[in-house]
Amino acid sequence: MSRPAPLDWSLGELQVLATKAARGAGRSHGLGEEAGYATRWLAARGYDGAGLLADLLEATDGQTHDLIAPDEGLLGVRDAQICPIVLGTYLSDTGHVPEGAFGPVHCPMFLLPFLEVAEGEALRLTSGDTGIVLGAGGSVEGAALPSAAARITLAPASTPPPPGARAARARVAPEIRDRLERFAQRTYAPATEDSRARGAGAGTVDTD
Amino acid sequence: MKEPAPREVPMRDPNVVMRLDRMGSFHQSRLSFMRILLRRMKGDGWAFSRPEWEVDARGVGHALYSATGPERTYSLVAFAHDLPPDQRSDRVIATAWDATFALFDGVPEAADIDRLSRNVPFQEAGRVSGRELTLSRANRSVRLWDHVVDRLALGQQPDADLVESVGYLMRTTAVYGSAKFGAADRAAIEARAELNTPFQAEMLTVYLIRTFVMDLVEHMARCKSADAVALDPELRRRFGIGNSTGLGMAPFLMNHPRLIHQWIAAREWALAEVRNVARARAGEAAILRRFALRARRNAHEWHSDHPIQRAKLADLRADMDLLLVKLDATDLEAPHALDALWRWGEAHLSLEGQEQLAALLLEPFGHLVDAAAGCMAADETPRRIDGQMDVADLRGLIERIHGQALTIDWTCATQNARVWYTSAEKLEPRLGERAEEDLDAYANPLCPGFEAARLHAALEGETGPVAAFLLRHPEHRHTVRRLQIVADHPYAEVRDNTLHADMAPIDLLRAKLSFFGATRFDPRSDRWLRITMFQNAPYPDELADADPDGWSYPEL
Repeated sequence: MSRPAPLDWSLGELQVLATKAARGAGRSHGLGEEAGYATRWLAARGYDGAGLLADLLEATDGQTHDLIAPDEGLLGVRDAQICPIVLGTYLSDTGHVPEGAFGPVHCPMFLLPFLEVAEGEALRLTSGDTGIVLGAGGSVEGAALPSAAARITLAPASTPPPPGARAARARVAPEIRDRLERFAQRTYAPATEDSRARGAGAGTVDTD
Repeated sequence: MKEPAPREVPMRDPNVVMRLDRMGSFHQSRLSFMRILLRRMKGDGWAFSRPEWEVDARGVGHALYSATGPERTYSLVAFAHDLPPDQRSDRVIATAWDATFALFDGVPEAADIDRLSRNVPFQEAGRVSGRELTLSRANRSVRLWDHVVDRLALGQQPDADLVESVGYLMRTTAVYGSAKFGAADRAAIEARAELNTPFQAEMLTVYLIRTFVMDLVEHMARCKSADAVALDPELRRRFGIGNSTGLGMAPFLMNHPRLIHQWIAAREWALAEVRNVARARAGEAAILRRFALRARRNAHEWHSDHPIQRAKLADLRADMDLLLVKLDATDLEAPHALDALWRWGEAHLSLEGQEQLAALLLEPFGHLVDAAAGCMAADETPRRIDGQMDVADLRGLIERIHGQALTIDWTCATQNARVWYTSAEKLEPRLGERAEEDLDAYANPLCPGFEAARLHAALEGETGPVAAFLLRHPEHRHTVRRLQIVADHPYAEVRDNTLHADMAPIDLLRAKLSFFGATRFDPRSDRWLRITMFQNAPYPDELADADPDGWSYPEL
């Protein structure tokens, strides 16, 4: 059986769903906003941000923040695997790009949106024998890195990538949408009669 | 005579402006989005047409309305339905409507209309594409609709008092824009001059819906009787489009801090500009006096049965009487008379009256203030957090911005009475009672003061840069970002307790709707209200010969 065609989504609705899904997976409101932004950022550059986010949230589902956060100043020396949203936002906040290898980091593609902010110069992000280059202005060159957690090295890139085209829409596979929706659902309060009657304050007739 | 020395009136203090009771008293002004739209369309000589009208005798079918500016055409695709009365509801949780709409970017082909006909009538359950800018729906005012159809069919005009008491034949119950349900992202259209000001696509949608509704009611009368007459043009203008707005709009104000700052700052800048006018000219003074009279008439024609709004309307009517007496005794062409008038208003008028005066003062000064319409958009990309900021400075920022919130006992059940949450039922935003419902796990961060106070307490004893604190405390990340935004966007934040037991969400709704240009705010509870839009406005075929600003208060 052939796979169902991807859905044509606006970047905005992808960002909203990604934000809620990250919230549902236990990220804080502030980190959820970052996840939404980063998912959109990747989709606008032609990568499957939605699929990568679903992979990340499933791989880290149920883990507490302490387990997926790097130690301050000690980015690599951990048994657990680091969440790229937590690490990426920390690097963006500090404006600091670590030298040497660090990790392992889940879905390292999610570091790119935050490194763009942190670093003006072109950077090569290497994982094993594959790499991807990030240039000033957020252009990216290279195939997406796999979602599996991996140790990462950042180094200046000799050749900055050319300015890339930006996608105005996101292509989201129905299966990926469902995986993200499963997380987003956790943020919605169950519908009850009481909530229906009081929560939005109908009360008075609304049909005259 | 010697010219008075220039002096600089500052913009108002955000701690004064961004309070719920004042926000709940805002009025439409020259910088409201409906008025900005009509000024632009008039100024650029937009052309309007109705290329398709395929509606049958039951009132079922579709129609197409096009608006063409200097560079582009936008088309309203309207679907008319035969809605069983028991399905008519203004709630978000409704699933069928009297009419549904999409605003198409360009002129749709038959295939586009076919595609939209299979999606738009289902609203949230359907999909639109990047070619659509908005998705919306409307329900009839049952009491007025039947009356107007019956009267026109009899060859008579509807009862003017009944028209006046309702104000519209249909009310929209949602106008979705900007990326919702697949529609084009704002990023895709914001560079267009005609859509850069916020909500221009939404306002254009409503403006064209108004024309469709009037065409539909006349069509239904003609289907009923060969002797039917058209609406008298004067009476026709009295119809606006109604709108029911619920809680869903309230979170918008908290979720778009930079955008809200731009709106409020534009209006506050305009008010300060006018207060800084050294001497008003005779013509400007005459316009102000005339609009004050019209605003008084508006205050008298504006009805509500809700106790909160009834009390506010009593205040506003008394304020308008006081203002007219004051204007009679004031030489508006004297040096700094406008600023003196404003300061008199602050001392003598209720909040309703003060905010009405703020809007009135802008009326004569379009040449000074209208350009601020170009500054009301915002880049809403999540702002990078300055993690080098020291936590001591962050605490200082909280004390400066949320000093009042730091004095509140947040363990008090009255102060911390509410929970903002999203229901699984059609994702309707709702407000719950913290003590009575188990909702904390679903709470949305929609009380900036409460969150800032919590952060302030968590920072006690902390030292070093914010980045290290946030690495350990990601639960405060959202709040830190907001605070750093508010540090240079002073009107970005509601500076009040949005969790208080007495908080009325309608204050937030009115603040936003006033920027749309809505009038006749009519609360139906503390959390939803009705308004009218474009009431008395010229129709598209009248715009070329009409004053694009003169309609926003009733004529004398």
